[in-house]
Amino acid sequence: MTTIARETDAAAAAERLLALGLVDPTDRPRPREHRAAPRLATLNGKRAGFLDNHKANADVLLEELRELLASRFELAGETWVHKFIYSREATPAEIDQLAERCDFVVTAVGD
Amino acid sequence: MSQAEAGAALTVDELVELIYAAGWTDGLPVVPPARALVDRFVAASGRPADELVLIVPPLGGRGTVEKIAANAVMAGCLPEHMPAVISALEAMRDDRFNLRGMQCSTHLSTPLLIFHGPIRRELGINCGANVFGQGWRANATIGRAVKLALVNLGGAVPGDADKSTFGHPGKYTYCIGENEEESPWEPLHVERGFALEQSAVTVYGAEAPHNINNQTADNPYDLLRTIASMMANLGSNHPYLMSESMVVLSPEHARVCSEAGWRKRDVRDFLFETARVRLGDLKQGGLHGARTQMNPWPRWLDQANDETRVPVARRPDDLIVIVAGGPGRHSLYIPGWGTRSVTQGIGDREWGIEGVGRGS
Repeated sequence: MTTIARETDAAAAAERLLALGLVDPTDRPRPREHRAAPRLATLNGKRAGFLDNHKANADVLLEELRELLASRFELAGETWVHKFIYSREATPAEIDQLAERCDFVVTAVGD
Repeated sequence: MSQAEAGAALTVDELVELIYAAGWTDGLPVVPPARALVDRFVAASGRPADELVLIVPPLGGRGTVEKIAANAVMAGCLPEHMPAVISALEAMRDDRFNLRGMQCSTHLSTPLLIFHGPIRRELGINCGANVFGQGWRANATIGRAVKLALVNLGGAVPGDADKSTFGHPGKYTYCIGENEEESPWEPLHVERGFALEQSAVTVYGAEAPHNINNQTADNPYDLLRTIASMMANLGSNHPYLMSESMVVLSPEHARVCSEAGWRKRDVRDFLFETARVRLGDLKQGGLHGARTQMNPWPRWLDQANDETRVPVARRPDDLIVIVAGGPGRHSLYIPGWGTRSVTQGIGDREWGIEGVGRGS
């Protein structure tokens, strides 16, 4: 069964259970509204950001990507952020730093 | 659809199957969370139904008292279990616990609940023989309620947002009591500043228990060297991350130490000195392989020398020692994940409101 089919079935089952007078033990908040930023027409003249989650090989992958991007585009600079603990979200300060200094950001999970 | 229409043709087994289809269960059947039953559980909590206990990551579901009650009903709890369930979830609000990471990691850790103080007796939480096993309703259902709430409210669905490579059986339920009556030492909540008569719960992000068999040691050195050898290995997170991990001594093993005059601190100090791995060997594995400089190690560790003995914790206090279990000359090592445990007073509302429990 596809994921969508399973979710539809689950939603129908849950609706029937709630109609029976059961209390919903779940709470799936509405997805936060995210809109994709306008796509960049080119990376030429743009400032790159690299967010390394600090797992083994994340930096290796990002270095390769950096070289690839640099060989194809005239980048206007780069900013690196290395998370110290990979299991935690990037801090607001790290995100702000990237937002302030970069036109685009590449991240990698180095598993 | 009216309630009568919806329920008209439903048998008990059809109801159970419908709950499976809704995706509300952990794979075992549940008690249907009927409104009247959930209301009784809310009343037993002593809190308003809409009080927010925690926002559950990763998807951010609202863990209100009513939602928690619905999960506790499904788990098979009794109404009087509610304060224990709520306090365990409250403890996880502490950022040092990193609930978000634990809910999603490829690692298999899951919250272990350890109850302390009078509530163990009041609720019949097993602290003795087969303490991590089946057969005690309070252990089985309180632990299950907490895990159901974390999955149902946080959206940490296995294979989806929960990326655990293996998981372990404690992800169904993982709940014990400390065997304070047979411990020669102060229990964990007392070490952390609570009164002996205060009920409390410690939450600890934990792997499955690993048994340590020593039937013969009549002195702490032989016994604790055996335990240390189980703690020091290349596959564990701990020589690399140096986070908290836990030793559970059986009462008989604890007595081997206490009768030689050892305090809990002596046990921790000895294990910190003894459970070590050669740095050169650690280059074969772990999180960063030969790039050992990426490990969060303290400055005093000589990283230029392959012969350096690397401890499994940053300091002795990060080795948690408790006493639990029944007769028999076994103890346990329970590796952690990389976060800190938190102890929360039960009925201690101030700590809950602040969202900060008492860690080590």
